[in-house]
Amino acid sequence: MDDGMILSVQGLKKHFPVTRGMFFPKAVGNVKAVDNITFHMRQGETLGLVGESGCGKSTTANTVLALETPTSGRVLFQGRDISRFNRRELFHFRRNIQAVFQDPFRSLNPRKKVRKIIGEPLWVHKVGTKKEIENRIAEFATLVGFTPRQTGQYPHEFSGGQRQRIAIARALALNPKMIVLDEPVSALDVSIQAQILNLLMDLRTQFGLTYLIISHDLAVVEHISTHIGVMYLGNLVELAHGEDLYGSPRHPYTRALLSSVPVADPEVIREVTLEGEVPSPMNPPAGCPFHPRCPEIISKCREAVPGRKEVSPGHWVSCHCSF
Amino acid sequence: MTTATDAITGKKIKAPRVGAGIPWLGLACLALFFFTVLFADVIAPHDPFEGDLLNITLPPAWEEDGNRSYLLGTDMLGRDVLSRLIHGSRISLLISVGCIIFYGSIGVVLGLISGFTGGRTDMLIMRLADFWMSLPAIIVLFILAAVNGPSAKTIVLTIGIMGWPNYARIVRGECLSLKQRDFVRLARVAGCSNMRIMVSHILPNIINSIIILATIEIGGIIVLTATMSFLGLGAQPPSCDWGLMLAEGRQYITYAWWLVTFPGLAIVVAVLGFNLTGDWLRELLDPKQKLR
Amino acid sequence: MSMMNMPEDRLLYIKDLKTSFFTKKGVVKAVDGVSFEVNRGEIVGLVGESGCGKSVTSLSIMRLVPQPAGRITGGEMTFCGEDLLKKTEKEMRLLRGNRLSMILQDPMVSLNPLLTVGYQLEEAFRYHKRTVGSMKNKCIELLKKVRVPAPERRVGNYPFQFSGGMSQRVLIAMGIANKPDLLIADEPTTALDVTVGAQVLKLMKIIQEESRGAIILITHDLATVAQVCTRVLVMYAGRIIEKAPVKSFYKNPAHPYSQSLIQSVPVLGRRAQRLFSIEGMPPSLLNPPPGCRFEPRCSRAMGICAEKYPPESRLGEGRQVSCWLYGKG
Repeated sequence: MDDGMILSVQGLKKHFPVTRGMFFPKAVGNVKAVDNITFHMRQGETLGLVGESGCGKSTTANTVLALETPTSGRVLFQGRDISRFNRRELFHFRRNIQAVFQDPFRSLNPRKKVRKIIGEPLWVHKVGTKKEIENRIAEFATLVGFTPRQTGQYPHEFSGGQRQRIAIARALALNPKMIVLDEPVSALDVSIQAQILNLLMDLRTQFGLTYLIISHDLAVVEHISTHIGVMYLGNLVELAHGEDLYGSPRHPYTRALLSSVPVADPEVIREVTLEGEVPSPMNPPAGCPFHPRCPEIISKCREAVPGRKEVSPGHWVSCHCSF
Repeated sequence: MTTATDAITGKKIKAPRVGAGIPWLGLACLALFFFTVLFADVIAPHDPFEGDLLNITLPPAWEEDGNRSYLLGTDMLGRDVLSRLIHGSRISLLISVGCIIFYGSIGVVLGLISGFTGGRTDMLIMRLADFWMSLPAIIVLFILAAVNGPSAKTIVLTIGIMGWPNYARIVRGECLSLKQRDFVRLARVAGCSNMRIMVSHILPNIINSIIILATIEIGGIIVLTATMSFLGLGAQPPSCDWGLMLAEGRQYITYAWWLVTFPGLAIVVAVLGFNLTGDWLRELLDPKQKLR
Repeated sequence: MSMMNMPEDRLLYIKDLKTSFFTKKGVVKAVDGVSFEVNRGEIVGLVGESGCGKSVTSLSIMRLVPQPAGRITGGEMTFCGEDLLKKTEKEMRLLRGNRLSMILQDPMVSLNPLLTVGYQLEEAFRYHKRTVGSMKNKCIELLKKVRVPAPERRVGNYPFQFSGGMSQRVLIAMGIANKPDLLIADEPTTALDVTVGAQVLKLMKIIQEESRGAIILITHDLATVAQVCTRVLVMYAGRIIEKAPVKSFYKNPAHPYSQSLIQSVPVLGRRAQRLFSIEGMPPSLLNPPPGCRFEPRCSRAMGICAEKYPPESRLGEGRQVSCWLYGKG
């Protein structure tokens, strides 16, 4: 079943049971980190998943990376369900999808030299001879702006931005088709952020990569993504092309989110339209998860979870009120 | 050198010197200890096992009846106390290092497996550790001594099999926190097997803790082995184990004080050396010092 | 209500403040000659990237620089006309939490997890002996002020029962308990979600309006500054390189660094092909260069920039900038 989709997430649910008891743990509750989300990606696209704490975007990323197994639903990579892979298949699958994580100070092994960090995926997958691997490492290091001498140093000798470059070089080493980036620039200063984003965009063009980028920063996501998905409390409330989402946001949460983003222009006064806080994922509200804070609530919202509706080509919303 | 003044107090500010904080006393003690271990044969003035029966229980050289060639006096068999002390350092070191390597290895392996695997295995190993720690070491030692006969080897065996829970606990704790770290996640994403992650990623990052724990424990082990020898369960005569020297000299304490004082001091020096240096090492290698 | 003197409009006056850290590697000049003032009614944004010295500046004002490595080595600081450098530690303690207050960045680590929130709030009152009426009621009033819902119940809760946004409000409550004249807020929204952060910023504005004091808002986020502040101070490598009222700053940033910084921020709705980025990194504060510290990364650097540090030039309307492009050179 290959309709050109490189990644297809269908009805994905990931619940974490909360247990009590030391010797014989019993489940007393469930954290519904991801609660039925569906999206599809084509090769070359960049999907940005945005949302606030507890919305489930990181869990989604972990599931796509096969670091977690779904509670239900399917994750299809190039048509094959990754949650059904055995060890060997999983191992081969990993060549296609790599990751870059948030904290450049914690995502690199402080005891390994840069070249060993970049080269590890190559050794693990035995890609080529020793010489070939070393050449590859040098190639990718140079690509992200490192000199050969620098590959012999340790991560702590470099700044945050440089470390993120190391992480990117490592992610590229296997020539994956897709890279999952979990908050890749949140821990960086603004001027460095821009450098890294530019690098990511250049690499995307050069290698024809597909990115799944997770972030809480709407502006960053909008800049680099072709599509944007907004998550709230484990649900994907809106999914659209970048311009569509910004130009005509349909879901009340999306609108509230956009209005809360501070803008570097004092002339633009943003009205804070959202009160209250995100409820705990252990106790999500019944019906539409957003209904307690929603300014456009109708009675149906309290009772039934809204399904996905395509309100315009490629623009999906989960809301009872969208027309 | 800086010429800055504190704006609040008006006093001159002295920048921290490069050598500040180094535990000179501890390092000196350690240096002395290792020196005697290495060069015992050369520096000991007499044979530690041959006694001169004409010169029994001589006081230290500076005392009235002392003899220059027996600097710290002699014991009840005429053996030179100083030579015995010097050779005894070898025994102390051998035993304590032997113990540490023995239970350290067990502890590290179990701790790694426990911390990394988690779940049932973790629970089982930790409950085992709890149980193990509640066993009184002395009783085990008595039993083993009864079975194998008391000797230095018995001590190593006892401490070796009793001492791992602490190590396992600490290694497990580090493992747990390292497991969450992003670089471990990335290793998985790259396709690394569990074994590879444990050995290649986690282990190098806990080596620091392992070493530091060893330096801290070794002091305690020296005291413990001395205690065991003192109780007669460890090294047997004519060994010059310090604990044994203490036991042998105990009954003469009122008129031959040097037989007990010097072995005691030797223990103090050795343990102090390890403890002070271990403390300093711990601060030095503290991973919480984030380097940006 | 007001203090013993006539209400001074100039709350804080800092001239040529220098704070250094004496480490084994050498002297790190974290704050190297910073001058500015804060008047009543202002919300001043102290903006800069990591390592520029903005947090150390705030710690210096509070005289909380971590000793013995950190020392204030020069300059003048007056608060409501009183010389802060001449105060004894006891006198400073009477000021802190009282007329001069600070809110720290991460509420998850700034609150004591073993004490109830009510107890920690009471501490703010207790030390400064402002007990008129029941303490508990005062705490509830305070929580109401920072818009914590169900304050009567929450006052007995522990910090772990609060979310990030609520904890930050509690921190704010502790900061404003004694109605300080000057409140320093160090990155108050960095650890929070966007929607929650927006609420907190709105709250801070309201507080400032009600108290008629002033706030110094320390942040790396230019957007936050644009939303909330009345004036901007831009810091780079230990010095303030530009001062301006917020509106004219964003319309016409004067210093090349300020311009680059504003251009680097991705703007929602304005998709550019490439983001503007500044190459290179800030200089080491161990041995800062003699000239302008931004010179190596500046696209408009001239010969003199590397040799001499530019003096502060006045650009009119309360604007100052340290750059040879405007220099009286």
